[in-house]
Amino acid sequence: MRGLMAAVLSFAVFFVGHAVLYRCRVIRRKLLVMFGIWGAGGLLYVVFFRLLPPDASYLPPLLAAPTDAVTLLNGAFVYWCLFAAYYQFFNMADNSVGVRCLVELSRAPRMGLTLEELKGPYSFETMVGRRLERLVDAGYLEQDNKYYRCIAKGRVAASVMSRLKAFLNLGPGG
Amino acid sequence: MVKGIALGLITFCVFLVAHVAVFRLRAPVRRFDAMMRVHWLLVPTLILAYVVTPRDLGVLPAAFIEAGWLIDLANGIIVYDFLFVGYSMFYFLVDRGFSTRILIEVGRAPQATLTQEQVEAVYAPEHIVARRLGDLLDMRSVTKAGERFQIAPSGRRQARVFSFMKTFFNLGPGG
Repeated sequence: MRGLMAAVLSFAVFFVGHAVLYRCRVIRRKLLVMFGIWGAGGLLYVVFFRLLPPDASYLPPLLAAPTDAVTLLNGAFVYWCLFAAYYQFFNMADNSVGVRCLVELSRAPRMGLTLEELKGPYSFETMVGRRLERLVDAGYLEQDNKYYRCIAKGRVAASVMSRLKAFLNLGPGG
Repeated sequence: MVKGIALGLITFCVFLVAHVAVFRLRAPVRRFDAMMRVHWLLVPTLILAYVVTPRDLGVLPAAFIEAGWLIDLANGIIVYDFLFVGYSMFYFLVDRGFSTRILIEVGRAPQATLTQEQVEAVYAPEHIVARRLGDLLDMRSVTKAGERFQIAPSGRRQARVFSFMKTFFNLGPGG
């Protein structure tokens, strides 16, 4: 329980830090900054783990675990997973096409929108352009005027993903 | 703690094998639903495995079996659930990743080079949005009347949460 509690407390601090920072500043490299805050929270995890009392001192035996390396590592794993799960949700809010469609439909008149009308508030060109720009930033593509070229890192990623899609019978997807 | 963690890891390996088998042999249409079913089916299996196996799993040293059974089991389920969540993240990247698909299309092109217009020609944004709207229809977040898509009450609630997040975290319109 000590590891789990330290993980939850560290994640709560991470969340508050991230919320304050993202609220006060417009962050461009969102994942990178989040990783930074998560790393700082990791140090805090160790502090919380040391400060919390041993399970046996206040919990019934069936809920008590010994304070050892396994408990410490297990809590660290849970802290990482809480971050990963939260990032998935955050990324959905930020980038998901489905979420953007929902938001635009919620702002639309009662009769709703056709696919064609949705293009008004939600430019599909910007949607693709934004992705291409990010792939260039991340070093998967390079841009030469209006041409985008797949470079070594991009080729490896594309090849791995294509194989996985084929292995899992996923079709072209996207 | 180690018994729960070990059983959580083993159950996740069983999940991976079952998921790959289902996807390769049956190619389900509602893929994530199929994954969720396999995942949930294995939770009672994990609990059963915990109950019927010895405390030391026949191999663990005495120092690793000191935790109370309830925290050990609960932790095993948490480990299994989080591994599933982590894998789902990766799965969505492979199956749905918009950027992943763009990368594959550029990588396949002659000299691995395309313009934005060429990307849009081989991977039409209309199809992507139509597919997502289809998913939203399946989830009943949206309804369709003729050619028009309308927000459903559950979709409106979701849109409110995500709009709040976009505004609160300064994310811009996104998507």
